[in-house]
Amino acid sequence: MAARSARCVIFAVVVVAGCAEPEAVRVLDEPKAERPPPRVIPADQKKYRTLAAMVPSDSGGGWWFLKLSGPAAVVTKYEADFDKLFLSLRSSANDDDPISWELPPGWTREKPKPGGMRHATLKAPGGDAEVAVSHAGGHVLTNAQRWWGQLWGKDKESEITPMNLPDYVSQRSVRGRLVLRADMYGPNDPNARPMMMPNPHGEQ
Amino acid sequence: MSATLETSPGAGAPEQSPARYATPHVWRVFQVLASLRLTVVLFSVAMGLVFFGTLAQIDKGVWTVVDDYFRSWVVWVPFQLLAEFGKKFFGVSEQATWGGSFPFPGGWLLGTAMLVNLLAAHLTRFKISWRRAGILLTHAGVILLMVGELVTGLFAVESLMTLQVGESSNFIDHSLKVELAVTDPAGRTVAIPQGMLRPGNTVSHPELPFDVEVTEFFKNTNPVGVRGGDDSDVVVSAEGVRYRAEPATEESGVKSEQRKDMPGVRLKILRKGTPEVLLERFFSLWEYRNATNRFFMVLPVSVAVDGKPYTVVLRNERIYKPYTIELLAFEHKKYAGTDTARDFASTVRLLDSETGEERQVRVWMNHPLRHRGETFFQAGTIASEKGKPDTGTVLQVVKNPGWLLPYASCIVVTLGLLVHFGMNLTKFASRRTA
Repeated sequence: MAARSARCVIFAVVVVAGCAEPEAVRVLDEPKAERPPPRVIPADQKKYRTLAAMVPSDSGGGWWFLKLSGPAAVVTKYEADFDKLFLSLRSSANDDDPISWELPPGWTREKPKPGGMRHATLKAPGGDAEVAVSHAGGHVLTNAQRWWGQLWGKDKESEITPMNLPDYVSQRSVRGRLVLRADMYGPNDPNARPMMMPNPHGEQ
Repeated sequence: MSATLETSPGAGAPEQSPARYATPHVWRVFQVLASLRLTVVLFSVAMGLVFFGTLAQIDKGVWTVVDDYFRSWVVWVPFQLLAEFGKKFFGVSEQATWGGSFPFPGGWLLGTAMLVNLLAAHLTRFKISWRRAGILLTHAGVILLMVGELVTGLFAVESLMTLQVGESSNFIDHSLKVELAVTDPAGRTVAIPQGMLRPGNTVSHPELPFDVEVTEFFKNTNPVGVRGGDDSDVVVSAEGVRYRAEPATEESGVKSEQRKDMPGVRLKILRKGTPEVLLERFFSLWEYRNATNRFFMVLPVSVAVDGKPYTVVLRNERIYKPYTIELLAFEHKKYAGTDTARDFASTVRLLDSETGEERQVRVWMNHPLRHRGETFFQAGTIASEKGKPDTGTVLQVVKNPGWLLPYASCIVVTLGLLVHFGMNLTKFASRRTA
């Protein structure tokens, strides 16, 4: 009986120890998760449009932003030029020339105002639109929410979520670099200055 | 195991044991196995194992040590561990490096030996009687405890489920294992397990569109900031900072702030059946979005074979489930005026396609979701910019078929000790009365 018990114990240990599954190549079906269709914006709400590029900076982190915004018809007129600009973007570790691009025909570069946030302003041939080039930090989601808020109102910023972000911000490879392109429509002018509250104490 | 409790006179003569039916030769073997000296030796060696396992955490992670020292049959202990101990307590030179290693019994071997020692002691020295019920119960509890650890070591799985608000998932990511996933445009994935990602190994499989030669494997990598160059092997943070993963030492088990190890592997992707290199690249877990709580972005790695693009990614081993969990809402409350977390809570909807079960559960501290033997704990968040609300949750998913055994064994051991000492007390009290 003792020998039988011993055999049982050894057998049990071997069986249990051998229960770990050997590792093998697995074949899995992983269809892409179905995403809800993008929000349909009625034509009468598509009055204004923002096109933006986000380029990871080589000089201390953050993003280079290129933003073209204004009446939808004007932005759409220059969309092809914006994309040429987008595809020519080159971020550099050279602090003297941290971001460069090839201007589409007819476009001009204006010097930035001293002390301003802008690195450059690129003027469209007709003078009816401009691309602002600036450097700043911030999370992708936060930037997208800010642009959405400019088009729809600040209280609507939270409508952009990580789940629908890909509907508005796409990821591209430009010259081997990861660059983001944002495209949004809305009823409000994104370039309109916010209304200033009157000072109740008068001018000071 | 068979400590002094059973050594009292009359603890069970050999001729009274069931083992008396064994042949003399087998009987002698059992006597050796049941030796109290062996018990003491095993306990001493176990203390040594704990000592070396603790020292090993100077430069190894907790789980590496658990696997190497406690869930193994034999472990090769580096002499350098003794040198490190000597540096702290015996004035060994700080520059001392002691090469080589020596073999030491691992946890599985010691546990098995202790179990055999205890069972042999019962077969040879014990007889079953009510008088010994307490000791039998106590020993049964100890056996249960050891079996519990064996079951945990072999079958327990710890994993994570990462969800944005509004997202559903039917898979979990193994916390400690990675795999190389090769996916075609239709979503058919061939996953090469971590065990096959050994340096020098070439993986060839009928379902793989190419062969994979493993050049190097690293248990851990660190992201290092980069300037210039392209993004072919770079991850970009959601805040626009570029990093490249580089080999690093394992996260030490004694570090106060530990993060999990992020393995990396250098591979050559070869045209099937030929030495032609289609791609040579260093892959790291930093490129898998769930492993970084969705903080990093990466350009997908694509390899074209016969005009068909295949994406390749190193990811946590993926375990699919017959149920889906959807994150409905996430709350992250903080103490007023501080960034100190007061409460995390995930409201999820569980939908089991096999059983038809559907329920909504709020998962928060000490209130996990339990389903199909798995427990979902609130473990982390997907953070957005500072000052902005978190956008998702990370749930730790634990499956341990032996989770009840430690509780059961504690109850049985307690009961056994109460019975044993209760009986002795009663006997003593009755003697005093007489």
